[in-house]
Amino acid sequence: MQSRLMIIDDEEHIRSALACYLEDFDEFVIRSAHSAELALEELRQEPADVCIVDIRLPAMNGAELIRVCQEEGLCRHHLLHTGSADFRLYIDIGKLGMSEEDVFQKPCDGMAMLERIRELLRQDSGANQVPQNV
Amino acid sequence: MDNASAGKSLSKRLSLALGVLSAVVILAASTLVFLVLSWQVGNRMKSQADNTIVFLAQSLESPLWVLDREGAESVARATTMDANVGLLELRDIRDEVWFAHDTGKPLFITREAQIRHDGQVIGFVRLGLEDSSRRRTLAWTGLAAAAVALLVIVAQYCLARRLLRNLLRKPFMALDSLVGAYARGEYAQTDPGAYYTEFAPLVDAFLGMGQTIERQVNALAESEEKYRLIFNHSPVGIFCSTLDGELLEGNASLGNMFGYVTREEFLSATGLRVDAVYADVSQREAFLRDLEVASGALSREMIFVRRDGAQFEGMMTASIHHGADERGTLLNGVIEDVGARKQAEERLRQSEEKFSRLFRLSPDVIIVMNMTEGRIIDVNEAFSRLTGFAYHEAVGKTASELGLYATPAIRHLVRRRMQATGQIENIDFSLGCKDGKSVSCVLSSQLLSVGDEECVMAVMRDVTEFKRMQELMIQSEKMISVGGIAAGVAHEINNPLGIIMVSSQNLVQRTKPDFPKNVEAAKSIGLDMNLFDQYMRTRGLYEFIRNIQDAAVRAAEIIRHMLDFSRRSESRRTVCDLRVIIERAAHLAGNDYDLKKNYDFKRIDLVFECDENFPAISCTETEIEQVFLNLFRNAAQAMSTAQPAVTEPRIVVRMRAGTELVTVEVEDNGPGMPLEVERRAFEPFFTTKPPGVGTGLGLSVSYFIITRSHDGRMRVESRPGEGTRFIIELPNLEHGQKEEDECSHDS
Repeated sequence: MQSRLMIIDDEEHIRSALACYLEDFDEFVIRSAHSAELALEELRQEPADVCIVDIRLPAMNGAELIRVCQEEGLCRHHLLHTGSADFRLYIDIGKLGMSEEDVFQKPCDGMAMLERIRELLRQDSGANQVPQNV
Repeated sequence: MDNASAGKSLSKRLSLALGVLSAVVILAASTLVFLVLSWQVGNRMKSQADNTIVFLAQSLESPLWVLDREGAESVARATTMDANVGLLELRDIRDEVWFAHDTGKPLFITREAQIRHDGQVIGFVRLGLEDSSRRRTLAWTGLAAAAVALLVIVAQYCLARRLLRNLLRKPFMALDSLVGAYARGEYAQTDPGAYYTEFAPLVDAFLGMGQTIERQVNALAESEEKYRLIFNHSPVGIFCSTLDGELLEGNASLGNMFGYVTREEFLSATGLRVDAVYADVSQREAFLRDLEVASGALSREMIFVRRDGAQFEGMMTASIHHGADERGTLLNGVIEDVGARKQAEERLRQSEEKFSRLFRLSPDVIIVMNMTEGRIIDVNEAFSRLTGFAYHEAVGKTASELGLYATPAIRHLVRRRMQATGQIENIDFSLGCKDGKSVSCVLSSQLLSVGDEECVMAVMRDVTEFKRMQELMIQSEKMISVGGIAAGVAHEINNPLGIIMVSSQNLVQRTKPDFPKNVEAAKSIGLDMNLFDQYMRTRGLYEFIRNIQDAAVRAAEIIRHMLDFSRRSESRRTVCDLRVIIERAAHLAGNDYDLKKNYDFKRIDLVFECDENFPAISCTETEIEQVFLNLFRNAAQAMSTAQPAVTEPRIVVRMRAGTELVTVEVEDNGPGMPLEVERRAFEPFFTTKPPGVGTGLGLSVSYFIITRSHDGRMRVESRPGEGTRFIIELPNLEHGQKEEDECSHDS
């Protein structure tokens, strides 16, 4: 069964390019949304395994989205994919249950992101493994 | 006059004197008369004796011759009838006495004669006249004279007395009344009436004297009044005392000085003793001892005591007077309360000292010159420090002689402005030093009167450091703004870069001839994947795609560096051994692949000159490492490209420990850099390297790491052809700790 990915980014070309890159591997079902609100709507209909979230989004921001997803159990893993350099000033990734490895600074290597997604999913499949240290 | 010795009346005396005088005169005259009379009587008796003897000799010749005894006797007897005859003796030649008569009374005169007859001696006659009658005559005469004299004297005495009384006493009485009036202080007297012209001068003299005395007494009173006023109203205390400390006189100020309202109150309160006003009476005694040996007045500061016990400093000036009157030796003088003056003096002195210190120790150079010749009168320590001219080398010379005008043209400008406006404010001035160098300063100058000489005070501030700081600040501002912009634009640029990145990755992935999805898609449209791959290669499309990727990575790298400007990394600070970090940076430089391509870092002689006590410092290791790696790479790259090549490439790392800062210098002997490059060395995106080799951010980032992240300083010094030296100063941790310790001790 293919894992479910959700890409949330207000930049259309990022969404499409990233989706193109990842779908080539035939491992994921990929959806995308240009806003947090739309993403939540989609996720409530069907949750995802991994969300790739941009921080700066039109209304609700990426961090808020991650928090809601976690609260509502809409997605198990989140990756930050951001172009901003100073997001750490107002976002504590630890509190969001994420590590530095979950942060991808644009422009990033697609392969690196793919590797991280695979790793996270592997952690899930090995159910008896200790959850990732946060 | 002295009545005690009176008794003796002048008129009596005069009368007596006149009586005595006339008595003497009368006596002398009487004596003379007496002598003349006695002489005349003597003469008369002598001639009587002579006549009588001649008479006898002749009258007796015949009786004797004829031996007529009776006749001879009769003649002789008749002769003896004269009372004056005391002796008559008649003898014949045989010496037979014919007649002898002798009364036995003293004889005045005797005569003898020979009785001759025809020349033949026939007898002798001897006659003696008695003295008694002569004496009787003389005695009567003397008595008569004495009686007359006595009568005259008495009469004269009585007359003189009466006359003198009338002639002298009255005028003298008049004079006496005049003198008596003077004695009573009544100097305005009229002529008491001089009876005789002889007294007129005397009376005039007395009256004149009276007027003179009156004038003088008035003048004296006036003068006395004047001095009394001065005495009473003098602001200084005036006193007169005996040497043993009895206060005889003191004025109101003296009383006020000691806290009394009036002079009388003071004089009565002190019990007329001065001891109480001295804080230490021995001071007075010492002063008196000194005064006795001194010729005139002495001044001395002493501590006095007021009525309320408060002490004050007074300046006593006094002298000893050896008075002629019964009061004897006195101490006269003045006391001035100098407390206020001394306080003022002290304040003035302190103020003077303060300004003197301000002048001496001012960090700014201060020169005082006279206006006329520009000759230096005074300079401060900062002057000597900055110019190298010692005080004695500068004073007396002119600024031109010392070469203080590094640019002679400025001298005219300065002089012209001083003459026109009398002051100069903050003009740029190049100050010439003893070693020939010049220091850039700002000059302010003002006219100043020293005594009656017109002077110029010039203040110069060394702005070398300031200018450098200004440049650095401009630099910093530039970089901070770069940092700020970077943060702002990073997001906007990173998004498109992300698109480029992922899209180019997609291109790579979707052109891979062996990627399953690609093979599948090609097959569905009948494309020979091998041919496609061949086409891609032939046309260099793979290369283009890789270039796109590389460019995106490079752009991303630049953005990342730019973002470093605005980042502070204090949270990751640790206490590090700087030398270890530098050595690691050198090691990294040695293994730098990019660098190796052009230049082998290991060929460079890396020399450490490190202070023994170089302390550990607080820093973010990775950042400091990056700084030194940057410097080593720059040095190596510069030396690799140097024309002509550097024969013995060398990098010296000097580590010195100061009290507040540690200094690390990285010095190479490479080609150095021209001034315009040196000025812009830290500027972001400024690079002398070919495009693609350097971003122009290495030194900017290093600068920010040192200055913003580590509160240090970084600068560069370079001389083309000789090399470049980067100087990094970082806060000394030990110093900071020490201060903290001291603070905690204090608190």
